[in-house]
Amino acid sequence: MNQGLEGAQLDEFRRANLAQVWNLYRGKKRMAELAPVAQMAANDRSRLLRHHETADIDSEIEIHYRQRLDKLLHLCGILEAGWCSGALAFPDPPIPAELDAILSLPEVCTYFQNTYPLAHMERFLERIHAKRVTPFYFEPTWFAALLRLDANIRDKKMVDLLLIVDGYWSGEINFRSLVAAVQQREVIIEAITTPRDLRSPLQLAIAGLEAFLLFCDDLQELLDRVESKKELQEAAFDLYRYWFLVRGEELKSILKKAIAALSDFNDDEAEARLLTPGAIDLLFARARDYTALPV
Amino acid sequence: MLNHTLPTPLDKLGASLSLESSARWARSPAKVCVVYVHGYGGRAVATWGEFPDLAMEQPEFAEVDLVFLGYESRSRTAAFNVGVLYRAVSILAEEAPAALKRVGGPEREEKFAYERIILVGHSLGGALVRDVAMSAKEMGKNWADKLHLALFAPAHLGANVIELVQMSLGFLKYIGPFKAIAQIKSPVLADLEKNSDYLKALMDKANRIGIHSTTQAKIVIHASDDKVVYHNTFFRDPPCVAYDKHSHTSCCKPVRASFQDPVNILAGVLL
Repeated sequence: MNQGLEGAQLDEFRRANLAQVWNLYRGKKRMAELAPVAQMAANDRSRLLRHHETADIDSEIEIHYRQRLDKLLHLCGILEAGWCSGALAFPDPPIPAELDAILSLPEVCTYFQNTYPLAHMERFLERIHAKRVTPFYFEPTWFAALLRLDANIRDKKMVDLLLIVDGYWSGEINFRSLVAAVQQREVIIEAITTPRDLRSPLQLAIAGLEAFLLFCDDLQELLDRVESKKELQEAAFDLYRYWFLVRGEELKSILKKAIAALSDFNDDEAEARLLTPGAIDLLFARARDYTALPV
Repeated sequence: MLNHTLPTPLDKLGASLSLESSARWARSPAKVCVVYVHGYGGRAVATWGEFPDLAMEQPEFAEVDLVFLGYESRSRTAAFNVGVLYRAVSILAEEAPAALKRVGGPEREEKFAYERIILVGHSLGGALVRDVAMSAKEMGKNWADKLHLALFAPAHLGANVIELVQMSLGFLKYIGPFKAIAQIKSPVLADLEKNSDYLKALMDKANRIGIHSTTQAKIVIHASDDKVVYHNTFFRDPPCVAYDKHSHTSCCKPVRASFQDPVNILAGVLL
C-alpha cells in the first residue's frame, strides 16, 4: 500500500496520527494527573499500587490514581499497536520525559510487571529503549479499526458491566444479581429497549453485556484481519487480555446464560446463525489461544 | 487512507448520538460531507462493512469527510431520532469549524462550510435522513439546498417489522420471530408499519415541498433478496438500482474486490 508514496507524505501522515492519538487519549492530562504519584515517598507509592488482595482498594483517592495509571498504561499499549502497524510516527525521543519518568519508578514497574502483568508493556519498553524505529507492517486501516474497537470499551455501559464483573457494585447490583437477571428474557429485552438515560443500573449493565458481545465479534474480526501477522494480533489482544483470561469464565458464563434465555431456535437453526453457547465457547477459546503466542 | 484522519469519536459534537458515532475527516479542507445513518438495531460504522476503508482509498473521496452517526434506534420513536440526527446535521452544516475543534478533528478556516452534504441512510436510516432533509427544507434552512440523499434498502414506505428485528445486531437477533413481535416494544416499529401515521406524514412533507434534492433521492438501492422493506417508489425518486443476489443487510456492505458497487455508486454522487 505504501509503495510509490512520497516519504515526506508518509512521515506527515504518521506525525498527524501520533498527535491525534495523544490528544484522543489525553496523554498530557494523564501525565499531569499522575505527577503527585511521582512525588510521593516510595513507601506510599508502593502501598498505593499494592495488589488488591493485600488490602482492599476502597479509598476514592487510591481508586483515582490507580485508574489514571491504568489509562496511561493503556495508552502505552495503543502506541505500541500504532507503531507495530506502521500507523504512527516514532519520534526521538519516542515518549515525553514525564512519561518515561513515571514508567521508570520501581513501584510502577512492579505494578505492571508483577502485580498486574501487562504483556504489552514489555514490548512497548523494548521498543522505546532500543529505539526500534522500523515498523513491522503498514496496516493503518487495521489500526483505525482498533481505535474504533477501543472506543467501545470506554462506553459507560461497558465500563459499568466490567466493574461489576470485576467484583464491584453498581448501585444495588453485583455480579450475582446480574447473573440472575439475565436469565429472564423479558428483563433483557426491557433493558436494551429502554432509552439509555432512563436505564437503571441493572439495565445499564445488561446493555453493557450486549455491548461486550458485539465487542467480542469486533475483536475476533480484528484478529482475523491480520491472521498471518502475529505481532499485530498480540498488540490488539494484549490490550484486553485481562478480561478474557482473568475474568473470562465470568464473562463467558453470563453471556451464555443471556443467550440461552433469549434463544428460541432449535439446534440446527441456532448453529446456522452461530448462536449456540458453543459458539461463544469457541470465541473465548480462540481468544485464549492468542495468549499462548510467544511474546 | 492517507487523506483522512484516524477515527474521531463524536461524543463532543453536541448531539445526543450513540458513543459509536465517529468520523474520518479529510486532512485537506473537504468540499463534501457524507453522513451515514444506520437502520434499526444497526451500528454506526459496522452497518457499512468495508465502506469507510474502501471509500478512503478512492481519489473521489480525498476531499470528503466521512461521518458515521449512531442513535438509539431500538428505544426511541422515529420522530425523536429525526430530532437527534437533525441536530447533528445542523451542526455540521452551520458550524463545522467549531464542531471539528470540539471533537478533535483537523483545523478548518473559520469561514469553512461544506459545498454539499450527502445523507446516506440504510433501512430505517433511509426514512430518517429523508425526514431530516425535508425538515431542513421546511424550516427554511439555507443549507437544505446542499443536501442530497443516497438510500440503501430504505424503509420510507414501511417494513416487515418481524424481519427487521431479526436482522438487527446484538441480543435481539437471538430471539425467535414469534417472541420478537410479541415482546419487543420498540416504539419505532409502529412508525415503520406500512401506512403508519409517521410514514404518511413523511409523504405529506414531500408533497408540500415538491421536487427538490431533499425529496427526490439521487440514488435508491434495493436488494433482490430483501424481504424487509417495500420496493415501491417514494414520491418522485428515480427508479431503484437493483442489486442481484444481495440481502437487506448486505446491499450496503461493500466487499473488497468482489462487491465495490456501493462505493462506486456513491462516488458518482460526489461528482
